[in-house]
Amino acid sequence: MSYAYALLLIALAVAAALFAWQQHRMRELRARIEASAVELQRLQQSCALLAPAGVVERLFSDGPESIAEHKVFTAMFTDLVGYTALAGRLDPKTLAGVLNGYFQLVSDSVAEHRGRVGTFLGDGILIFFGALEPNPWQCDDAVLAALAIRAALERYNAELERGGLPSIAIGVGIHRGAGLAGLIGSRDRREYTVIGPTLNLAARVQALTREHGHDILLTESVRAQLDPRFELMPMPAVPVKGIGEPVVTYAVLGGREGRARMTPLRVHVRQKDEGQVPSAQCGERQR
Amino acid sequence: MASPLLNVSWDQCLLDPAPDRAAELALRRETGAAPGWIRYFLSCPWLPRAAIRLGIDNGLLVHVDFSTVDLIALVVSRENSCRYCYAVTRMALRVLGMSEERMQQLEQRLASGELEPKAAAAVHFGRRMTRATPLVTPQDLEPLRAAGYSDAEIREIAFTVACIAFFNRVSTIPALPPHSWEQLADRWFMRLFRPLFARTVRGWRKRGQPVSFARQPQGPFAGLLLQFEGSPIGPVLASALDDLWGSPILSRRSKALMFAVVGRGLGSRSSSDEIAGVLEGEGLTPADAEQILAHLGGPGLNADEGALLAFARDTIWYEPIQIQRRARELRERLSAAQFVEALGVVALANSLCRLRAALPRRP
Repeated sequence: MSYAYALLLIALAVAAALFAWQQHRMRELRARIEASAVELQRLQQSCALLAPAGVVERLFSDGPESIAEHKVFTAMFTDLVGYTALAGRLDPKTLAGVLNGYFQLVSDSVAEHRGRVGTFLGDGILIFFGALEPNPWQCDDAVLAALAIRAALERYNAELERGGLPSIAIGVGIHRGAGLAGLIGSRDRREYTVIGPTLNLAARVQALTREHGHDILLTESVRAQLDPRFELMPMPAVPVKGIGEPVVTYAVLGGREGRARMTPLRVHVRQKDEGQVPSAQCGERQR
Repeated sequence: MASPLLNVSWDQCLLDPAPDRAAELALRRETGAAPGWIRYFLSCPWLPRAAIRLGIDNGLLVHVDFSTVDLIALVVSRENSCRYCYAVTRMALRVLGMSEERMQQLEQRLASGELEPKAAAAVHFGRRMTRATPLVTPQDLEPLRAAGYSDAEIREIAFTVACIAFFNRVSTIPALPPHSWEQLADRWFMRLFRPLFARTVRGWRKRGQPVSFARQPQGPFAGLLLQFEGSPIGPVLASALDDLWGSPILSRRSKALMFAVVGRGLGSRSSSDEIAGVLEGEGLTPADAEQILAHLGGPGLNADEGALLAFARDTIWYEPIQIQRRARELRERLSAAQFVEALGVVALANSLCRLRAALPRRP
C-alpha cells in the first residue's frame, strides 16, 4: 500500500515537474516570440530610413531578389555650383551646416512633388520620379520639384546672407528614360536605387547648366511629356561625352502659373563660348 | 505587445462627428445598422449608406470562408498602413477568442509568408492587388485557382481586397482615431465579458444569399458588376455607384475626372475607358479630357477641380501622414459635405479600378 502511495506521489511529483517545466518553456517561448516581434518591428523602422516603406515591406515579404524591375522614370541630378571655392572659404563645421541645409531643402522639395532622393553623391544629389510606382505625371513632378528647389534656395540664400555667409547656387539636369530600379549592391550592402544611361545623361545635362547659364535644364524626352504651360527656352544643341548626337536641352524659365521666374546662376557661371547662339535668339519661348 | 502598426504616424482627425438622430434612424431602417463611426460621414448621405452595405461581414460573401477574409483584412490594412482598420480587425479576432500570443504568431507568419499554401495564395494576391505596382491582371488569379479556390471564391476574394482597400481609405485619409480600437481588446470589461462580445461579433458575421439585380446595371463599371450576377455583392456595388453619380454635392464631371485620374495613375486603360463616356456626356471632348488628365490641369478646370484631381492622384499610393496632410489642405478649401463626398469618390475609385483590372469583362 505504502509502495502504491509512494509511486503515486512520485508520479504526481513528476507530472507537476513536467507541468512546471512546460509552463516555464511556454513563458520562455512567448518571451522569445515577443522579443523577435519587437526586433522585427525595430528592423523595419530602421530599414524605412534606408529605403521607401513599400520596398521594405516587399523586402520582408518577398525577399531582396524580388525588388528589381526595368522602369521608365525621370532622373534629376542636382549639384552645387562652385563647391570647391565655397569649401575653401568656410571652416568645416560651417560648411557642413550650409551643406546640410541645402540637402534638406532639396529633399523637402522633392518629397513634396512625389520624388525620391536616391543617393547623395558628394555635393550632388540623384533624384528619381516614377521609379517606385507607375507615375504618368513624372515629368511635370520633376520640373515642379526643380522649381520648388529654386524657390527654396532663394529663401535659404537670404538666410545665409543674413548670417554673413556666402550664398550658394545649384545646377539641375532632368532626363527621362529607361533603367533598372531595385535593391542594388553587394551581398553585404544594398540600396534602393536606379541605374542606367538615363542617370548619366541627367548628370551631363546638369553639367551643361554652367555652359548655358541657366540653373534648370531638361532634355527633349522630358519636354515631350511636359505640360505645355511650363515656360521653357530651347538651348543650342551641344556635344556631350558618351552621347553620339549633340544634346538639345531646354531651360526652365517659369512654372505653369507663371510663378517661379528665372533666377540666374549667381556663382561661377562660365561665359558662353564664342560662336554659340545666345539663348535668347535660339528659338521661340515655349508656352 | 500590441498592433504592429502602432508606430505609423497618424494626424488628428480631420472630421468632427456630427450626430443626427433622424439620419441615423433612417440609415438603421434602410440598412439594418447605424454604427457610431457613420457620424463622421453623415454630411454626404450616400457614403455611410454604402459603407454599411459594403461591410464585408454583412451578408455579402456566399462562398469564401471568414478565416480567409480575416487574413486578407489584416494584410491589406497593413499594406495600406491603416491603423484604424487594422486595429478593428485585430480587436475582432481577439474578441472571437484569439489570444495575444496567437495573434502575434499569425502576424509573424503573415510577415514571413509561412502560411499553409491556400491561405498563402490568398494573402499573396491580396498584397499584389493592393500594391498595384504593377496593377494585377487576370493571370494573377491563376495561383488562386491552383491553390484550390473556385471561380466564385476568387471573385469574392478580389472583392474582399477591394472592399478593405475602400475602408482603409475612408478611415486613413480623414485620420479617424484608431486609439480606442487599439486598446479595446485589453480593457478589463472586454476580458470579463469576452464570451458575450464574441457572441455579438459572431452574430454580425452573416453569410450572403444569392440574389439578382433588380435592374440590369448600366454606365461605368457595369461589366464589372455583371461579374457578380447572382451574388449579393453586385446589387450593393451598383447601388453605391448609382448613389455616387446621383449625389448633387460635387459635380458629376468632377467625380468622373477623379475616377479617371485614379484609373490613369494606376495604369488601368480599361477603367479610363469606362469613364470616358461619362466625361463626354459632361461636355468634355476627348482632346480636352486628355489634356486635363495628362497634366492634371487645363482647359476649363476651376481651382477646386484642380485641387480635387491632385488629391485623387495622391490617394493611389500614400503614407498616412502625408495623405492626411494633403487631405487637410483640401478640407480647408471645401465644405464638410464636399470633402466627405470627395473621400468617398476616391475610395470607391481606387477599389473599383483595382477590382476591374483583376476581373475584366466577361467575353
